[in-house]
Amino acid sequence: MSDMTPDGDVALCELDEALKNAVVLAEEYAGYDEYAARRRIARRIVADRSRSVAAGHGSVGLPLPGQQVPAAGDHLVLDAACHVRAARGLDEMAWTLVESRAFAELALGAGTWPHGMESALLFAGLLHLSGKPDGAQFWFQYAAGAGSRAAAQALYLHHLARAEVKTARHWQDQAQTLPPDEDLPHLPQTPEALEEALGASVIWTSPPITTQDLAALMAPGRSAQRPHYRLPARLGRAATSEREEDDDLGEVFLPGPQTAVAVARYARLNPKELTEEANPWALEALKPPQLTRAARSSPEERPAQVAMESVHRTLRVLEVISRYSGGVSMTQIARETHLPQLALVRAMEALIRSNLATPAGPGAYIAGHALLLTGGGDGGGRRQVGETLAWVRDAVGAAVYVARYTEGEVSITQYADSPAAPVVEEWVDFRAAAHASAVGKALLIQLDYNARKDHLSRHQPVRFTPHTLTSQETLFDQLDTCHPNAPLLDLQEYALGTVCAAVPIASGPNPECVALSMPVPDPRRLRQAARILQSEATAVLLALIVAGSSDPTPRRDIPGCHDGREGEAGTAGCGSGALSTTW
Amino acid sequence: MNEGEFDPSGDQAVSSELAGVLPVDFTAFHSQQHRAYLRYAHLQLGNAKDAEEIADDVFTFLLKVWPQALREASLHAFAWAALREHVERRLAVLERPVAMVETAWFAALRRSSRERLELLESKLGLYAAIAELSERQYDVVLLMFLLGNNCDTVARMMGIAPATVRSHIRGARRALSRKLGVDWIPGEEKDQ
Repeated sequence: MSDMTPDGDVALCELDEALKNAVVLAEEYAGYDEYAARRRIARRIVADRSRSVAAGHGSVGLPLPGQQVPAAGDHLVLDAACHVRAARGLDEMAWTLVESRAFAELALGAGTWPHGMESALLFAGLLHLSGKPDGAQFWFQYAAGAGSRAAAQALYLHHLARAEVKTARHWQDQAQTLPPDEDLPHLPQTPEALEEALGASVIWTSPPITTQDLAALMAPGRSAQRPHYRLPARLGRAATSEREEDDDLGEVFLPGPQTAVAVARYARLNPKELTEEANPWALEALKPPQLTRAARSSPEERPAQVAMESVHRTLRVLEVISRYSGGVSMTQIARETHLPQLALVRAMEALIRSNLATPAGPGAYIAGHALLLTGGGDGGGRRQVGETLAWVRDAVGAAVYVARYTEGEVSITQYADSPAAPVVEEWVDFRAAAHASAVGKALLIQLDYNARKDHLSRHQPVRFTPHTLTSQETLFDQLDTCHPNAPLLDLQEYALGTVCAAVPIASGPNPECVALSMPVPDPRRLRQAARILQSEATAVLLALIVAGSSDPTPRRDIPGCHDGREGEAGTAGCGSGALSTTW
Repeated sequence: MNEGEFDPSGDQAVSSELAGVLPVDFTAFHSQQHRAYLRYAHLQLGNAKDAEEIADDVFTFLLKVWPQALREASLHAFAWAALREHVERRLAVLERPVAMVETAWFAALRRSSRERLELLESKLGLYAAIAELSERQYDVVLLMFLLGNNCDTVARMMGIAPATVRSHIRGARRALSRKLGVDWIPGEEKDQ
């Protein structure tokens, strides 16, 4: 920067001194009669209204004191102002950009958002409509710099809307040298003769020109009322949520991931489609059943693997965050992980949920306390899993469990309950009830055919309730025809009056699952809770993976004894309702 | 309004009608902004008569469209644009360039006739350099230094963020020191 040179320093000091003494006309209008000025102004308005009444414009006479009755021609005055017409033109242009579904899709495309020309143009439009013209200007300039003619036209209107005529004309010239943009929605024409009002006549000379004259200035057929484009509040909030103050650029708004999500939602685009992430459910559902079954027999194709993909992405994000001790911005993370923005948001949400990342100031993230805990080694990771489970418990409104298949047995390794979300009473050893419990099914589904047979040969399916499946074929069929990623259910198969759901996950070589139980056989509530469990499974899996680095393989307990390090009451049926978290 | 404010020649009926035309918030806005608008217009147009006419025109326009003006994202930014446009129009009609440099310099001359002449000459250079700034920087510098407002006031008047005002000042200082650095600052002023 030029002001860094020694000479520049001297120059700047002198400049500041000179600027300090640059005040002029300080006393010039000290005695100005503002009351007289207001009376002059009011008289003009009154005279204008009576003229317009006399000319048959509007039936309204002089307003009563305290009343504001706009005369019929007021909007014509507004329309005749160049800056108003320019602002209206820019409103329309921004609105057209924001409203176009195809353009949103283009702007959000992976590899484009948030630094592509289209993204900048769209974001600028959003900021303009959110009443942040300076923020919009920055991104219009960004897009114009990338060669967008529409952006240069927008800047022409933007500066004209502030009556910055010279700057406006500069952008008008720029726009003429740029080739037309491709793939833009059909933008409204820049109003012709926009600047006519600037050169023509002064509206309020004495006598003021009448509204009839103004009407002549207006192109016929244009709606006189300024349309008000109202951005949905959520979209506006998202667009203006990430704000920075820059020494050279002033107030700058950044297109954060929330903006991407809000834009996608507004355009009714499925955010999933934008992340290049195949929708595994849909893909699997399209496969013929035999194929699904065949796919299941190979461990790589198990449903848990699908979740692993997003977990791996999340771990990549975590890796970047933990490298920056002083906090790191989303933009930097995106640059280093090359993840699409929407995948990044979901990863960040999961990290924040499991306390692996914490927002530190606007737009910056640091490693969360869970990461520090696991670094400590002794039980920290386990406590971390416990915290995540407690969070999930409150989210689903039911007791939640983590179970693992180790050495051929079902083992509940951790759980979280509460007085309102009691654990299921273990009236039969869980190890013998794999065929009847959601947990057992979610573990069995991850085994291949032989391992499943082996398990059932050691634990013969016993009928616990009228709903229990005791036939091996029926059970296997249920496992194989279950939608990938859909939770496995226990509909009063283990105990009457209790329903469960479990989601397969795997943080290590052993099959694992996260499950919930409800003492109310309400299928609607169960499905709802299972959906939440499904979406939070990633957070649990993450916590398990991070904890796994410091945790030994859990003891092969009496199931339900939950590895009670703090000596909490042991069994799943412990009924120690006071526990909020086991760990 | 109280009795004392009314034009003695105007009768009471007209006065109360006028009061009905002037919304309270408009009166407040006018009272708060009129001097700054007058001084800005005066600098641009070079004389008090034009400045007063422009101020009247701008505020008449604002009063005429007051309900719509209040619906704008920033009333101040809207009003500022109206002021700029009126000044631009008047300059176009008069076929005159912006008069700021001379106006400011003569005003400075009148105010500080005791100052050394070279100091005034340097001021002429400063005003000329300011006149070459981009419009936004020009407005910010004018409002801040020539008209003596603080950063927050300037931000409010123009309807922009204080951080943006500061960034314009920074940019303006760099541009000014570049312009002045060569032929002005390292010159005779340096060893005073």
